[in-house]
Amino acid sequence: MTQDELSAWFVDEVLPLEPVLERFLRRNWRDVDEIADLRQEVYARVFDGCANSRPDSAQAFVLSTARNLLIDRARRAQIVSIETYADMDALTPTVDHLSPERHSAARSELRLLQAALNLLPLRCREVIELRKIEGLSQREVATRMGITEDTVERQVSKGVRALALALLQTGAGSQEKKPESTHRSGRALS
Amino acid sequence: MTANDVIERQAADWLARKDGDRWTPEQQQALDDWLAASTLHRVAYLRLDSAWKRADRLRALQAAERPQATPRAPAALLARPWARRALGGLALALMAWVLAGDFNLGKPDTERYATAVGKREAVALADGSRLTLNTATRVRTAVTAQERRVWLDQGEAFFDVAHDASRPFVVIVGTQRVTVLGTKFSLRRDGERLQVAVLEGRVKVQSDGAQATVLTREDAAVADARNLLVTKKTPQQLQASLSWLQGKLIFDQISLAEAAQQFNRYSHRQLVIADPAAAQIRIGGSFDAGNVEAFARLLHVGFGLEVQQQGDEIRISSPAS
Repeated sequence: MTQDELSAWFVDEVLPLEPVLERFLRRNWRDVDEIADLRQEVYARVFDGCANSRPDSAQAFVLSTARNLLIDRARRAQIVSIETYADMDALTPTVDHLSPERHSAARSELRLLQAALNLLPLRCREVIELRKIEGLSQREVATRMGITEDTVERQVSKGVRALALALLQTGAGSQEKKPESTHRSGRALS
Repeated sequence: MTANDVIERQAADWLARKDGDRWTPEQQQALDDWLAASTLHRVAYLRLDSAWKRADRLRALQAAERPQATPRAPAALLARPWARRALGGLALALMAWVLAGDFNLGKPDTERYATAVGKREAVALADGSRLTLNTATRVRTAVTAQERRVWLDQGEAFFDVAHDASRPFVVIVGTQRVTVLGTKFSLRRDGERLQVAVLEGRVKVQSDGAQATVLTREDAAVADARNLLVTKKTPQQLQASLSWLQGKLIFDQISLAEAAQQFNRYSHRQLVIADPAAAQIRIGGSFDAGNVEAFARLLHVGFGLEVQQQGDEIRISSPAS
């Protein structure tokens, strides 16, 4: 698989799983501040792990990668109680059936995007709207708003992070099935 | 600030810079180096880039709010190199066809074109636009000085529309109208259901009396009279869905039932999947659309399925156990 194919596969198959991954991490890791770091670490491991061959199920692979990462971290931290540790070992991710297609109901995606725009600071929002709705280039946006291209660039940088959060994390897949009950004792193997 | 925060900010800065108008080859090199330095960099960038591209959908708001808005310079939307590669073969075929002298200049009357089952044909319109008709397809075209119209009465066609802002290009599919804003896309009609895949540029899809939806590059949509569902496709998926341009069917782990449906569009010899267990087998790969017999043989050899041929019917069933 070439780098481009790998990237395309990653964008297409792995990124849509972000709500699932996020839930899995939150359910099994106490420190909320570390969730984003863990998520990105999982992404990196998945990306490297799939450099040569793709797994049959992206979701099973992502979740088992997440599980292994949490176990590694817990071992290294050594402050985790025996209980948590045992719990973690028992933790077998069950695949939940989120179809990536569900992310794409156009109107709900549009709603998500609009909601994300509404949360942006005014200037940032205006820049993103001119760039994405009006289709102006960054230079044209700068001229229209009477600000420098550097400023436009900074606002785009800020805006894209907010959009990613809105699109990938809450995901249009918010209507997908709950993966399993929230208690952790389930030893039911998938 | 966590490690991820730092990387995400850097990735966002790169993306914003690349999105701007001052991007240089040196910067591209620097970005490539940064991406290669760590997979954490790469995945952070891919994640933001994917969101940024999906935000193109916001453009639909423009059409909804101000239908009369002047079209923007489409430079950024056009000229995708991968698309050109995908269409290389088609372009050659069309060129041969044009050189053969079948070029039809400025006729206002309605022209009719049709293909038989299993056939594929290229059609050049008087304005320089090109259509490729897939199996069992019927279209009518009318090109005048004011307007370009195509009726897709049946089947599937790929459109490579010559840019001409003064003459709108409209495809009428039953009750739905697809207005083209200079682009390459395919349409498939299945009764009243319409499937759209956009390779380049933008198209507007509108049902009678309903609000218009604008589709952009790499969008695919399924529409009936009331509903429209848009999905984003990767270049690979789009190429797979346009593989018929090369006479191929490309399946990515679809069920045998779906695969049979696809094959059956291209041949009078129909595949019949006899039992549910066989129908659910997953099929992947690239096949000759016109060679259903080879596909059936493969099912026998690869999956041990029983293949029985009776007249124009090929029955596929699970082996008797």
